[in-house]
Order: sequence, then C-alpha cells, then structure tokens
Amino acid sequence: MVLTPAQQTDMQLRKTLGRNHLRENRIDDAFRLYASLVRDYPQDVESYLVLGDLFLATDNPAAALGFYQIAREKMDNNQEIEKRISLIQNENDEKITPLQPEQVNILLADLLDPNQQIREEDLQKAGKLLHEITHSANPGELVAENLDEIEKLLPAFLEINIRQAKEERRDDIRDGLEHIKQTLLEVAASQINMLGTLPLEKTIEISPERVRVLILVADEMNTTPRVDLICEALRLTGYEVHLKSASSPAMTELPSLVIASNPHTNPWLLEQMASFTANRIPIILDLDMDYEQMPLNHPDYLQKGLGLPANARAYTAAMLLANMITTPSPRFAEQLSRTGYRAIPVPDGWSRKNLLWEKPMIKRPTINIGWIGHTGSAEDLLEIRRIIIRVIREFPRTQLIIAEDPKAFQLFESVPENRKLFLPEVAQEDYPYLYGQMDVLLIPLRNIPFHYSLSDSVLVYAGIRKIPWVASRLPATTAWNNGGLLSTAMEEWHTNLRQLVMDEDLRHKLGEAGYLRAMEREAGHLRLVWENAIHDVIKNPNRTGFLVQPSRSGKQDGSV
Amino acid sequence: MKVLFVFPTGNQYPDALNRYQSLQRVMYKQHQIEAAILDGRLFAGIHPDSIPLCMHADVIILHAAILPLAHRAIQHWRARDKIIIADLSTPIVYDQEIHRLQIGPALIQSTDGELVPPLTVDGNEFIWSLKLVDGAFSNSRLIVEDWKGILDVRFIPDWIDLDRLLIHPYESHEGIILGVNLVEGGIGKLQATGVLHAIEEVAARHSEVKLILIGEHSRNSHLIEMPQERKYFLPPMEKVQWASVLPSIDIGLLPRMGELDDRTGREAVLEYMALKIPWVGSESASLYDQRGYGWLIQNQTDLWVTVLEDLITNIDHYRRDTLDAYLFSLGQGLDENFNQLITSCLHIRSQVLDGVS
Repeated sequence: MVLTPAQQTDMQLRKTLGRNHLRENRIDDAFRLYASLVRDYPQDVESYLVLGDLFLATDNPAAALGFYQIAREKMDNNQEIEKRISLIQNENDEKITPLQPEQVNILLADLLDPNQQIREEDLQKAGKLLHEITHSANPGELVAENLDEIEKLLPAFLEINIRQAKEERRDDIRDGLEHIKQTLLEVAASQINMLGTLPLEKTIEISPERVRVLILVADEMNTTPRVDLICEALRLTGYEVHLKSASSPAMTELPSLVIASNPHTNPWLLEQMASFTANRIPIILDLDMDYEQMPLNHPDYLQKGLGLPANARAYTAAMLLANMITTPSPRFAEQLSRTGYRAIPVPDGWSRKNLLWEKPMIKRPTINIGWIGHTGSAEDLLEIRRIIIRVIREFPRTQLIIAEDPKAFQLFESVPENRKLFLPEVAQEDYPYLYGQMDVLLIPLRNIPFHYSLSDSVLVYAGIRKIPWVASRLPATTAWNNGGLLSTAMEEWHTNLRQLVMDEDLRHKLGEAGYLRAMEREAGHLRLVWENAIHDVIKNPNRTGFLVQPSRSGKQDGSV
Repeated sequence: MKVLFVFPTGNQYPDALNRYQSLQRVMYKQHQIEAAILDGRLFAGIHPDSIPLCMHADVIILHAAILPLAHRAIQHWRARDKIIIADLSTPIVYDQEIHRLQIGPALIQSTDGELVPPLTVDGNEFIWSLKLVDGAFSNSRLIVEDWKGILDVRFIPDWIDLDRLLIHPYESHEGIILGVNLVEGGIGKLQATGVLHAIEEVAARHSEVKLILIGEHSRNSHLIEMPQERKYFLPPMEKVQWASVLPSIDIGLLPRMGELDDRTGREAVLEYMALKIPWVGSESASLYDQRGYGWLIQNQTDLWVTVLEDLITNIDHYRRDTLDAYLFSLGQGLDENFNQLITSCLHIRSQVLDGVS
C-alpha cells in the first residue's frame, strides 16, 4: 500500500511523538501510540518491532515474540527482526510460545481500549488541581495556565465528579457524567486515529441548503435573545436550523454543525457536546459573556457563574470540546484567543422579524429617563443615584422609569410616586416596548473586569429605538460611540444627562445616529458573520481542535 | 369598538363573571359593541387560547385581582396597541395585620361553610400594576380617591341588570320578612353593627317577623336568638338564590362597617329600590349617594331597634313611599347606562393615542 504524502507526514510525526514518549519514559503513552500506528499503518514493520521491544521491556516475551513474528511475516530475511527473535529464544530457559495473531489483535485492542480505567495518580493530580482552581482568587487565569494539564486529566476530573455524584446519590448526574467520560475517552482514541485518516486540509464545498445547524440550548421555550438572533441570521442564510434542549425529541439525522449556547449551565448540554464530538461534528461554543469574571452579586451568578465547582468544570470542558468559541464581545474573544482558543467575536443585534422594533414611538407629555435591569445591576445604578434624583427634581417634566429590577426601583423611594414608574420584566420579544418607554437611557457600569467584556446589545436596542443614552466609559460603549454621551466623573454624568433633558434637538440627532449604527446589526447583516464562522469551522474543524492540538502555546494554526 | 373582559378565576370573586356576562349581554343586545370574556389565568400566561381574543380587542378590561399576576401580559398587549383598563369595582383595603393589600372580601363557600380568603398583594407591587395600565374605573368613590395620583380612576357606579332582577315573582307571605345583605364578616359584623341584637329584640316583640340573611352560612344560624323556622341564611356566593327571594322581602337592611364596606358599590341598595323594598342602612360612604331613598343610621342597637320598630309598625306607609326610589333605580339599569363605560373607554383610548396620559 502506498502512503499519501499526508499519511507519511502523519506517520512520521506520530513516530517522533512516540520516541518522545519513550525518551521520557512514558511507556503507557508509547504503547498506545504505537498500537494506533499498527492499526492505522499495518504495513509499517517498525511499529511492530517497537511494540515487541516494549513488551519485552515490560517482561512479556510471549507478546514480544508475537509482534516480532508478525513483523517477520511482513518483511522476510530482515536481520534486525531475526536477531530479536533469537534473542528472546536464547535468553529464556523455557521455550517461549509466541502469541497468535488473534491474541496480538486482542492485545492491540486492549491498548487502544477507550474504556480504560483512570489511574489513581491522575485522580490525585486532578483533585489537587481542582482544589487549587476552586480556591484560587483568579480561577480563570489558573485554568488558562494549566490547560495542557487539564486536557490530559479531563477524564480524571469527570471521574471525581462521578464519585461525588455517587456519594450524593445523584444517579441522574452520575449517569450523565459517566456518559461524557466514556465519550471523551472514545474521542481521545478516535482522535489519535483521525490523525492518520483525515486529510490535513479538507476542501469542502458548502452549499447553504445542505448545512444543518443544531443549536443546543438549556430551554427551548425560553431562549436568549442571542440564540433567537443566531437562528434568524442562519435561516436567512438558507441553513436548516434546529433548536434542541433536553426535552426535544431525538434527532434522526446528524447535523453539519452544532452551536452550543452557554452549555456549562446544564449537564445535558455538555453531554450532547461530548456526543457530537465523538461523531466528529464540529462544534461552536457560543458564550454570552465572560462567566469567569461574573461578579458574585450578579443575578445570574448562581445559575451561570463559575463559583459552583460543577459549573466551573463544565465550562472548562465545554471550551475543550469546542472547535471554535464565539462571543458577542471582541475583547472577550481576544482574551480567549490569547489563551490559545480559536475564538472570534460575533456581535449581538436585532431582527426585523420582530415588528415592534420599528414601531413608531408614542407621544407622551413627559421626558422619561430610564434604566433597564438587564443593562447592569442595582449596584451600578447606585453610583449615579444622586445625579438622577437631582435631575428629576430639577426638571418637572421628567419621569424616572426603572425596568426589571425592583431592588433598583427601591433606591428611589424619595422620588414622588407621580414622578416614577416601575416596569416589571417582560418577555424578550417585548423588549422594544420596554425601550420604547424611555426618552433617555442610562447605562451606568462600574469599572470591574466583567464589564470590560460585556456585549453592546443594549446600545443596539437603544439605537434601533432611536433612544439617546448616557453611559459609563467602557470598551463596549466607547467602541460603539454612536447615539449617546460617555461619562466618567459624576459631574460629567450630571452635565450630559441635563443636556439631553434640555436639548430636544440633541436627543433627536443622537437617536438618529444610534439608529444608523444599529441598522448594521440587523440579522440580515449579521448572517454574513455567522456564515463565515460556520464555513471556517466546517472547512477546518481541527484547526485548533482541542484534542488534536499538540501544544497550547497560543498558536492559531494548529495544522499537523 | 371591541371590548374584552378578563375575569379572575376561582371562587373569590363570584360577582365579577356575572357582571361581565351582564355587560356582554347588554352590549350584544344593543348591537353596538362586540364584547368577549376571558379567563384571567389564560390572559396572565399569554396562553395561546387567549391570543386571538386579545388580538381582536381594542380595549381589555382587567379585574383588579388579575393585575398583580399579569405584569407581563399587560405590557405585552400594550406593546401591541391594546388599551388596558383596570376594573377596581371590588373593595381594595390595606390589611394592617399582614401589611398587604386585600382585594375583595373574604367569602364563605356555599357548600361547606369554608372561608375563601381574598387575594392579598404587596402594596408596592399593586401600585406598579396600576401604573402599567392606561386607566381604571371603580364603583366606589373612595377607591377613586384612594388611587388618585397613581392613575386616572373614573367613577362608574354600579348599574343593575333589571332583566335578571325583575324576572322573579313576588311570593305572597304572612308576616314581615327582614332581608339583610352583608358584604363580609358574617354574624360578627352583624353583632358589631348592633343589628344582631336589634333583630333579636324586634323578632322577640313581633312574632310575625322573619329573617333572610345573605352573607353567612346556615350552620351559624343558631347565633341569632330567633326560632329556627323564622330565619333563613344564604352564603354570600348564593346570589341567584338571593335574587329569587328578594321580591318577598319587606324591609331591607344594609349593615355596613369598616373600610372594606365603605368601598363597596351600590348594587345591594339598588336591588332593594328596584323591588320597592323600604331599606335602612349604616352610615357608610358606600350608601351615601342613595341616602335620599332610604334611611342611614349610626351603628347603635337602640337606633336600629327604633327604626325597625317604626318600619314594622308602618310598613304599608313606607312601602307607598318607595316610588321615588323605584323610579330612580329604573334609571340605573345596565341597558340604559352601559354607554357610560364605553364612553370612558373611548376617552381613555383617545388620551393614550394623543399622548396625553
């Protein structure tokens, strides 16, 4: 059999890797690697010889002899082979009966068995690392520093969780994790196999109608605005898009690509990711925000934050299983890229499909100064509370609108009842209504790392409703820089807010500027960004695919 | 214009559905307005079954008890240009003990006498709810005052469904039947207002006096010292039975006490008036507008006794005197007046569209 140049390269590379294992005395790794070479390149005599040598070194002359004899069958009259065979026979007092070819195959299968037990040593290492991460002041950094180690110990991490789930009698979690572990081990084996079987550069012609995208979500009936937007953008591209959650019926056909939305929030999502990885379906991991930086007092922290060890481990595992990570924040994408992930920013936007976005605003007698809960937290609002009260008192035509967060509304108890209004949470399809109640939007954000990587969705929504805003000076607001005024100092907040209340013309101009900018974020425009990302992942699934990446040195081109 | 009435589900507010059905019937009869009725649970959950009805409506009238449960739905339909109006025609009072607002009275269930508690809500949350809607109306002037400054509440008094009320025939009987209509509180309220002892006293003096009371379960009838065969109790939910016995009542009593009673409508008094029943009630804000057609007295036993004695002794004279009250009540029929509600709805709607409210 003649090997292609790609196969030759692959084989050489793996042999180099194998020699490294031997040099560093990583016998188990060397066994597995040469076994995979034998399986993938059965004509390669050298691999049989090395395996024979390894068995001989580990005091298994029968197995060694079995491999040498197969090598002899493949290459007659080779002095090296003959020398090894006679050495075994001469050095042992008893006659050694070589393993039969069937037995050798079983042995090979054992070496490649993905269901191998996890070594206690790995478990100890994983436990120690886990302890360090969960007790670290900066777990994200520690994770980034130890990615290689985490990769290696992933099954051990899962085993720890499985044992804990057993102790806590959580059979559901235990079964789910067990499934993930098995899948990971299978993937590890198959990825080794893939090194030899997959062409290094796949050239795939992608026609939209042939692309089936599956979006994994925690709750199909309660999706995030971003997931809705992704669906819309991809459907506009002509892709077939399906949403899947734990309650969805089983799929009959495999997708071309999977997008997993915040999968660390639900073990089922991670399980699905592992399963699709095993089926070699490329996966895009879409993260709404930088969960590593999520502050403890964030309303979603308990559900989505990484303070819970289970969430933190799932987050790391999801990143490892993904072929690409997408996030609305360019800054967050850049951070991920720096730590070795293949990450790109895909911004948030809006869809014309929701007719409410472009509905004209209703006239009203008041100038409504508003704040919406999902733009930040009550702590953010607290910082400018005095300024808001001052402006509300200063201008009798103003009315304060606080939406979604009752705690934030309580900050304004001193404002008379007829000068304030609380709008409870609405369904996301009614966001246009919520934004439509404001004439000036306030976006105060404290100077904390989490806010550096926030999405600019609020600015998009304000833009499309032509609402001028006053916002804290942070990467997202500075980069958007259309339709509002940036503020840092308290006096600046006061001046800007006052100016917007007094100057109707300025409100109008800023509203128009924001609107024009927001038009760029309509789903029809964003589809191109998603299309490019998906083409890239389908064409080059393993460009930086975690399990085949030889080193996490930060290099973007992971071609082997 | 198309109106959708949303009624609260459950046993707490049995009158709401009846009232909306009466309005729907009248609107249908007059061929002017299209009206539909929707279960509050479906509305609050934006249930698929509720969507066609809401989509079709121009104005959605929500019973007060739906408001705190329907924040999302209210905003959802406002976003789609529906005018949402709150119906505050049920007493809303602050419960000092639990520091919450109580919407409507506690009611006694007809079958087993179990007390059906009213809905209670956090005061602030109720204010949020009220401020989400475009306007409101109430059958109580006090409620209009209570919520002034929070939103525009219009006073739309109760009207009576004469078609339904006047179908029951008068049943000739011996003696004099006293009718008592309690809003809430049962025998306890009767005692606190002094009416209990007054009834016992006149019943002891006049063996021909009988009693029909709505607002208490019959298992408590022993708490009134009167021969069993001369007293008949109806729980508050038995409004149909009450309507059927009303024509036989000779003297109507309306004991009222407390903030909740003060915030009730005038339906009970109009019923007496439409059936030419002389009536006497407590001095309560809820009866004040009708004072010219009956007697209002302070809640003291001796006063009740004096008035009852007088009414019993001179019943024929007082019956003849009910003509003015009767004519007034005929002018308060639903058929003649429902347009006031429609006019208010249209006014609120135009205010919203003009950006005034």
